[in-house]
Amino acid sequence: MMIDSKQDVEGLNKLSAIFDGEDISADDLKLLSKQDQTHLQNWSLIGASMRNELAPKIDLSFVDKVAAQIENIDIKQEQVTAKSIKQDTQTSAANDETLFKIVPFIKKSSLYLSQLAIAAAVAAVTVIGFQIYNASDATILEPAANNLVHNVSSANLASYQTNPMHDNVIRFNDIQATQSNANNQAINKEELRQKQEQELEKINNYLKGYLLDTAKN
Amino acid sequence: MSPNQENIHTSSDDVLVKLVQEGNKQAYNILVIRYQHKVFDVALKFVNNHFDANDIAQEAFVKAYRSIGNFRGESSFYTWLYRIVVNTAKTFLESNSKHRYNLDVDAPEFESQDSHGVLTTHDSPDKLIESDELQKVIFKALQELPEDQRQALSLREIEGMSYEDIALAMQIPIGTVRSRIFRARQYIEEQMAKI
Repeated sequence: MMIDSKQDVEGLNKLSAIFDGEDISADDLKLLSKQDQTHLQNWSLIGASMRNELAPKIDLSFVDKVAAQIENIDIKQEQVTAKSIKQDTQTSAANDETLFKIVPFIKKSSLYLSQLAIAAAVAAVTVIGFQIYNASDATILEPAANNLVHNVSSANLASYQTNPMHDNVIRFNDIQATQSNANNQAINKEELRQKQEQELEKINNYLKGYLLDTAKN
Repeated sequence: MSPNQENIHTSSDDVLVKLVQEGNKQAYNILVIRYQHKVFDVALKFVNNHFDANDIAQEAFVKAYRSIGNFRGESSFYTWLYRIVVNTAKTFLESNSKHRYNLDVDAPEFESQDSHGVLTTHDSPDKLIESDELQKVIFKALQELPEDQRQALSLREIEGMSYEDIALAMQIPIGTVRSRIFRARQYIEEQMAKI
């Protein structure tokens, strides 16, 4: 905490102005000596004291310690590193963004495809199911006829019994139906038709519900 | 802190920051000298321990230096620095919360005086001084100053006014403001040297 000789007073006057941010130039800063830095620190203590900013204990070597730590840091290199990190982050973000755009498209397309596949599968099941149902109904309703009918004159009677176009077919089913109660037959057909309608309605409802659920998701 | 105090050095900080960004380390030294007490004060509020506050303050200044290239002047330099200090202090607390503070019971105390009569400790290489006595000397010296010098220095240090504004307020040339402030500092510094 020494004061320089009188010939240095003008230099210190200038240093005081520099400390206050008046007339700062890079050339002035280059000329700062260790003694000048001590003056700056003392003036900083005066200012901090006037503003009541002083801590109970003050480390007078603080500035030197910071200066030693930053001595080997190249600020421009740090800036380049920071920029490259930023660029990497941006590139990564851009890739993520592209991926983010592609993924929903695939997701959306796969949704439509899956819906289409399900609809096709349901339709196929409906058609096949309907055919099987008809066939099984016929078997259940007329088991004796099916078991008893055999090939006659190389014609399978069971195969032709429902086809009115085959005139040379002995229509055992028709005969049996004629022989059995005509009213019962009418009732059975009506029941069959109703069951078929109910089944169709069930399938339609299921299909409708499934599609609505899928669309919602 | 009054708005004026917050604005202290703001315009001249910009000049210094620009010089630092161009690679001038001496300019950064001036910024450290200017804000070391404020930064230390902020750090001390987090840790309430001189040594840790000192570490936090140092680390904050180093971090600030590393990233000063990204400082665009959207806020004042001190506001930017303050955020760095707070983040550094928080990180310090998080990493030391489990074990560090239990060990600080036997923190070294000041034990003797150096050649300048300043209290120091043998356990630390820090050049530590107690501020109580220093503050008394500074305030006594301030009272002894001629009124015009005290007023000029107070407008600068407490109100944060530029030389131009002080010149207008005191109705004197800028050159006179400059010399009054310097002479006031010179006198107080002489009194400090007597401690």
